[in-house]
Amino acid sequence: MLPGVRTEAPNSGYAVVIIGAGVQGLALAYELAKRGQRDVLVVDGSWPGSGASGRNGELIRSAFSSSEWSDFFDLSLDRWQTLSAELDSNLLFNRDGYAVLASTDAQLHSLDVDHRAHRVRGLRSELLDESEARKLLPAAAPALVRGALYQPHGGYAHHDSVVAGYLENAARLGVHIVAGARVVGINHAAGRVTAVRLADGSTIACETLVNAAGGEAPAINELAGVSIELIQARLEMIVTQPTRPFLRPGVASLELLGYCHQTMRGEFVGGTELATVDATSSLSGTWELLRDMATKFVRLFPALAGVRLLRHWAGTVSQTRDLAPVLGHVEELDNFIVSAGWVYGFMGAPAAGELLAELLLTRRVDPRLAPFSAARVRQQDWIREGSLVVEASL
Amino acid sequence: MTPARNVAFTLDGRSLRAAAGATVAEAMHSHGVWTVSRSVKYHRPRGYTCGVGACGNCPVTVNGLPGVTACTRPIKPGDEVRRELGLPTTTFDLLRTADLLRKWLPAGFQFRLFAKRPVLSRISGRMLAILAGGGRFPTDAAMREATVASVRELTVDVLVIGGGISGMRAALTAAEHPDSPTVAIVDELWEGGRARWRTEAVRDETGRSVPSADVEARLRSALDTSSAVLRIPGIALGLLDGLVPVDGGRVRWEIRPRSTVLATGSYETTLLFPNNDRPGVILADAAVKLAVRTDAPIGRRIVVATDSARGHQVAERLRSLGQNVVAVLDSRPVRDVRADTGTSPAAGFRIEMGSTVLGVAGWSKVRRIRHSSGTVAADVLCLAFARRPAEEFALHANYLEHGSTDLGTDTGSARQDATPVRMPTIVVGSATGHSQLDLDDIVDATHRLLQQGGDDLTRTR
Repeated sequence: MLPGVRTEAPNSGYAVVIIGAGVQGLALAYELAKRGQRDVLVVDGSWPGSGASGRNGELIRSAFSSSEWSDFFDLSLDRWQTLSAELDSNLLFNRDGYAVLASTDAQLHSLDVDHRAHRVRGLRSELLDESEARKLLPAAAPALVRGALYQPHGGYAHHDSVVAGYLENAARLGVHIVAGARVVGINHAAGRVTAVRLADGSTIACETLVNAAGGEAPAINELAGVSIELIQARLEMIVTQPTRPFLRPGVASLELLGYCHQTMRGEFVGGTELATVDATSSLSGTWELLRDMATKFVRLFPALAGVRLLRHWAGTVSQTRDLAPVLGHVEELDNFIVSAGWVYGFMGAPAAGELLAELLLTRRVDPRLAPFSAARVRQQDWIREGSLVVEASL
Repeated sequence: MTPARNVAFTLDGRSLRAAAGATVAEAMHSHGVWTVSRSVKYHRPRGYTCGVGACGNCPVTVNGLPGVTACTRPIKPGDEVRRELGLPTTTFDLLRTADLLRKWLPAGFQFRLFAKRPVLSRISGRMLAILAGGGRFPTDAAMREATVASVRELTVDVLVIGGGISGMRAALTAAEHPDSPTVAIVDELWEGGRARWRTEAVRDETGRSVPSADVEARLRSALDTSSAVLRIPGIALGLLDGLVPVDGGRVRWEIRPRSTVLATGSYETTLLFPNNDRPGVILADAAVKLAVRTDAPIGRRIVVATDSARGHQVAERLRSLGQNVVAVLDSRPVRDVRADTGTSPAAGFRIEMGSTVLGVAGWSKVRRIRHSSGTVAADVLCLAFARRPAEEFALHANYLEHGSTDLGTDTGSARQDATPVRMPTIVVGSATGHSQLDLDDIVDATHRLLQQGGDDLTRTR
């Protein structure tokens, strides 16, 4: 077992129980403990970071179209700048920039609109024209580079390091983390959650329960009798053998519905999405997506032809129809907080951890947190975010 | 007789000659070039180790394409081979300084380094990237070569993955079945698996113990004359939603089998001791293979380390091939080794029982072996230890859900709109984890596959 991780909960009751030891659950646990909250338990059916937190694209930016996304993720991006130092753990946050690539005039125009909105709100981003973007991405096929929206202080971090960093600090501050313990039932009565039941038959009482269960968040909601429209979706990624450095910033391509970057070790890492959502749960890669990713990435970076594939995997996330997360309390239960529907959960974790901790302790909803409420999903008051490389089905 | 060396190639710009049919690694070894690659971080010398493309120690760049596995790539006239990492050269690599400083650069050191100084963290990150990604991009010509020219789709009743004795036996049995199923068999190297380097006997279809090379020759000849089995040269990439893609170089096969036979064999495992990655440390099958195929000394002085009778058999086999085996180090306690291993007193090498390898010394290759009863000068340390089954395809066939213990035989189709298809599968040969090879078991299993749709893989394992 990892240091700080147990196989059984030492206590039979906690002030806060967080379901899911991914980056969201652990960031929240850390932020709570940092603020002096004691008796926090994080429980996971598998091992910490075993879900999307250990399988994601690692990219970090805040240059989105909507004010809701931009404001929230800008808080996160700020936290990322100093997170390694704060956690005293090298998260391998590479501040090598993040470029949203436009391949057509229409795409460039929409990035231009975003950029103007950023300027107004004081969010740092640069609009690069065709020649500037080609200089930034010399290995990209020129035909696909029309311009880019660039954040020099964006980048990527190593997902396992981030999970480990949050975990170690949470454990150090007294959080109990239990792995290999599935939640099979949630006891609730009179609008309050009272306890969680684990697969080994034990029952853990809780004053507040948080659903940070990633791909399995919908199932956890169901156990609590909470119904929020969340579907499980499968995403795939690939990693190549190391090559010499050819790509500095992280890249999101609107044209290819894909995202990628090159790690410090020279491996090219990325994923693409198909237009239709795959709601199954298999963690095996598929031939269809493998071909899609290989074809698209070789189109974008022709020099990748002939480079060997090292790894190919799938992971699951839960997503809402507008692809924005669901954060905060639910109507039916007074002490049940949801942190789910994360498709950009890795980059959003520092902000989510902070704002949800504040919410839990003070019941104050930060204005940056407010737009992502469960209420908006129920009222179908969708957030329109145009700068995603996943297809929203609105 | 040493095969004539009439294939001209270049290695790092040097013009050399190799025997026809030799692999790049064999060609290098025969010219005394034992450092085939360098490790990514510490730039430790690495060389020929497993002989089957499984260990990752021998990537070279051939004709502009990096990452070519030297021990499986046959050398062709005019090939330009370049080794990949090393400054100024792979043989003399100044970056090995990292290896000398490894006490201060432990595994994962970069995770703690410069935690509070982002600028230094980025600079060190960039340096590590340059050191690690030393492989160049494929050249344009290599890229064109690497591009698949055609895709062949194939639906077949029985697909056998692995062309060794077990696979060949299963394929022939399937083809002979009265229902005349269509049969295809895929293998990367088509050299009979490990049959020609194997020292343990095989039990044939009647239960008789016979040398594996004889069985291989017989089955190979039967396969050659059979028009009912399609032989596919290539690497099967996985069982993905009922599809088996096969990388056949310029041809990609996309095979949809109705049932599969996993005859993927087994890997040899190494022994843990300091510097067990030094060139000259070779796994037993690989050493015998090198000796058989190059018909030349594989080293000046060979020591075989083992924990079983197999090591003694390997030593005798090498000896009979004219190799200079000087000692066998058997880690088992002292007992009547002759009776146990069946080796003859005239074997001519020293046998030390109860002797464990403690380490090897040598800067760029093995020079001296330290063991629990002393030291011995040698340049090849041959390891004959445990084997483990090549179970990757079995895992593909079984692995449905993360953390699931449900080992069904569904392909676990990932597409929502597709119905899970049951893929009847059997595992034969050493891929089952059993070391004794019985051909009648394989014949029976193949009949079971065709008649009853195979096995619940949870039971055969």
